[in-house]
Amino acid sequence: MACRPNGADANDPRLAGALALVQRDAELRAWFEAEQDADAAIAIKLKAAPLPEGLLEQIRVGTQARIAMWRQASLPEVEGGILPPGIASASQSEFDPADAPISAEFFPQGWKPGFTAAKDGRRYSLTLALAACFALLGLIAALWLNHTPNAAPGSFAAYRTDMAQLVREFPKLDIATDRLPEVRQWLSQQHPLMKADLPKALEQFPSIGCRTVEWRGKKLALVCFMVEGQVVHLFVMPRNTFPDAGSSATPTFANVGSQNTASWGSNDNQYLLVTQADQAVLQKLL
Amino acid sequence: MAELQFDHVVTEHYATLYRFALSLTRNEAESLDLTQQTFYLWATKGGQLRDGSKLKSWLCTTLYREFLGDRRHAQRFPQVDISLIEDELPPLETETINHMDAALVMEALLEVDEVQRAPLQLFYVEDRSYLEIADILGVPIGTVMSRLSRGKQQLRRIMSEKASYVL
Repeated sequence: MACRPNGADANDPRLAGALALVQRDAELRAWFEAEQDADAAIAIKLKAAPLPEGLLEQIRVGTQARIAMWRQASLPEVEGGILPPGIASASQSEFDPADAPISAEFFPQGWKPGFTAAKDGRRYSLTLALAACFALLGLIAALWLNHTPNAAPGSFAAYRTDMAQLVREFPKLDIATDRLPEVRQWLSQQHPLMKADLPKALEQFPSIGCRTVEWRGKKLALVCFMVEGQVVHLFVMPRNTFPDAGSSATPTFANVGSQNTASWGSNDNQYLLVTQADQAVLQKLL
Repeated sequence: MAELQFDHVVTEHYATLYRFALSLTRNEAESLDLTQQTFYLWATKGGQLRDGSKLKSWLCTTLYREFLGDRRHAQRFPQVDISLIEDELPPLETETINHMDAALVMEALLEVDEVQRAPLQLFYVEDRSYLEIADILGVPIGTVMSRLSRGKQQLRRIMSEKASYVL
């Protein structure tokens, strides 16, 4: 039964005994051939099953979004970020594009994939030790931040901090789509107060997908966009959720850890943009 | 090793990975997420993969591990060898299968028990041998054989039911 219908297992020693028996027994052979035919027919049908429209593009954009976030978090010299596990910096001369699983132009200038360091064991150990130091420093910084007097629970500032924390890594999405009408439709279904009026400047960029988030018993929407190679997260909440958020339509910019945020109100909604990109990227969108 | 371009790898393997993910999750959004996460892991951590010919297996194995990690299936589905005794397969003529719609056959596969869906998908769609399936799923060969056997029984029974409605 483990014999593939394409005959590729004909010489498998584990199946040789059973296949020899099949050859000797006419009745068994007829049964086996019918089984193989049925398996072949099932394989053909399953291989022909249609894929969703636009699947390749969705996968490409979504994967690039994850890589962009990882890349932004992996810029030790450029951004002062924390090195992710297993990634170390290397000098430009060590970079060999043939070693990189993705093309060199995919990475930002001034950054090199760390796995080339494997060529030199001692240097690799050193960079691993450095990475561990960075990780330790990051942990200390995170603990320190957690002990810093924070905004009142349930306040807009607390919400902003929590959302920035949520998207430090690429979040799982309820719907992955680069088609904005689908995002609009989904958004309007999530809450009666949530009108699907997305910031106009964001609409020119491809979406990655969206999801709902529960925060302190309140439901909000998250829509992710790919903006000039960088991931931007848009949180939408009914405006009356935060009395302390103010009523201004003028964006307020704030830095939360390694992330930049912008928030503003419009109609019935309170918007919050979060990104690891520069504040200039946010300003372009508002 | 020839340079593996991101676009080329995604274009070459997205259908395989998505179908495999769908057979595991039965959910399009989750499948998309798993597929993207697998390519992401390849792009960021797959540098150690020196042998390009093993890329497809690496991707499938990584996707499966991600799936298990997500669902914590390791506890829910202990890898225990079950009986290799095979019941007779439900009768399903090749002619009947040939007349079925591909989407309907896929629908039948997605109704098979989860633990048997992954080996069936790898067997039918990826043309993987039972040895390769054991390697990708990280289970003993005997377990693969029994899962294939039981999976086929279940798949054909479901297909028979669907065919009786449609044909």
